[in-house]
Amino acid sequence: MEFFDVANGSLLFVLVGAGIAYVMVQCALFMRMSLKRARELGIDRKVISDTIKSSAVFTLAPSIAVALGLAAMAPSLGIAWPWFRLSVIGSVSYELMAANMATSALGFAKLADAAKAGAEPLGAIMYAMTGGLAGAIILDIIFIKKVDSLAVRLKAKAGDFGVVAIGVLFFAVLAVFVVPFFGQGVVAVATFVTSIVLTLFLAFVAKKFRLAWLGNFILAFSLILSMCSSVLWTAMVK
Amino acid sequence: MENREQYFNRINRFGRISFIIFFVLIFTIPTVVCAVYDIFPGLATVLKATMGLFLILTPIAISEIVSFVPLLGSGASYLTFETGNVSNIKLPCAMNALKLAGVQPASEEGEVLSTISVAVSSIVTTSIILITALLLAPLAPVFSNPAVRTATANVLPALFGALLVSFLAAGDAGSVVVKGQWKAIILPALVVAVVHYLIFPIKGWEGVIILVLLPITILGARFLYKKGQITVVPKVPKA
Repeated sequence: MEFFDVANGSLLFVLVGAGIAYVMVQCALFMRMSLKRARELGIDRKVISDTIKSSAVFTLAPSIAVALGLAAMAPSLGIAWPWFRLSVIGSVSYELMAANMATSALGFAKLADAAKAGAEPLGAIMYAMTGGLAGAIILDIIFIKKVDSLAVRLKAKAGDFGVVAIGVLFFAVLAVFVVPFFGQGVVAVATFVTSIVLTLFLAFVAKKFRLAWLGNFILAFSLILSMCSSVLWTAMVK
Repeated sequence: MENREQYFNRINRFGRISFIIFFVLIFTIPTVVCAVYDIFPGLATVLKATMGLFLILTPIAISEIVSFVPLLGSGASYLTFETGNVSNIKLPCAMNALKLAGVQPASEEGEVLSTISVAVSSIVTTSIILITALLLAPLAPVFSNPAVRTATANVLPALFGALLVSFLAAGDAGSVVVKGQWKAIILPALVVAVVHYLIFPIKGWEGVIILVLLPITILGARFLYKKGQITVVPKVPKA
């Protein structure tokens, strides 16, 4: 049995399809519970509808980057397994690294070499990529409830400062991702600055011309347009 | 109507049970494949291949739980960690949704809206990946196009530029407004700059750095709050 006979075989597609379907059903159930709760809390229908629309549009551009990750992984691992990993649990930033680490631990220099050694390395790679996340999943099961509960309690206990503390938590994430862009070359910096300028400009336009609908899509439009601007910056740098 | 605690317990019970089933499911896939094709690897081989990944991904998970769960709430966290692409799609998407709705994380409304946002986002991402998987051959020229590759390679600067503006500019937090909140990013940004440019590049260590930055950011904000540089004022209703 060859590597790609299994990797692109119908069995793996069926299993992966079932796994993804399970997660999609869960998304639908979580959404149903949340929508019901939103009605109970008296959240305006328009707020809910704006949340749905803005989230859908916002997700489009980064999802194309994930789709590109699938295209990058498919020649080495087939389509089914990367499809599963990128739809469920995986991250486009880690998946290729995870596959390569598993491959090198098996004694192969690269994924392509593992693929030449028959189907057995595929089983080991799939187990390794799954097992590598076992600790993360167990921690999620145990600690999500505890951490959420603690955060709500601390916020309430801290009074007005609780509002500030929760508000600035995301700044730690922003700082970690934003600061390194300045060392990643002209194109990354130019794209970053373009995104800032576009966001400010679109916010100004939405306010000035009272375009409430635009307010919901500022981030999505800035994201897509500044990604496109990176092509221009790359051409100019050359 | 359920009170907050009842809803919280119910969504966590559902999340935990579905996550346990999910845990079994993801191991079932390689197990069935290996059994059917008779390609079971040796235990030692699997352990050797798994250990490196386990040691990298588990600390990242700890950091993500501590950093992201207070922002997302329980329901959205289960979905986010299950569907992946956390810091590049799900977290920014949910934060944007809360910001647009003018509600705070760690509030009842925030929990509900972030769950809706992540559910929608997961469905969209999964649909796009499904379309890509089905059309991989015809889409190959598009994906190999240099312009598409350049644009997608720059998704993070584009994403975080827009996020930076929207989070620094506004301090809308439900019934109150936080003024001067942007000042709280100066300290963590300086710490990251010193570490990244003078000590060691943080690529691959983002999770650990975020974990270290959380108390630093909150303590810095506390200092600014005490000094009156950050204030919380009641929201004035629009006329």
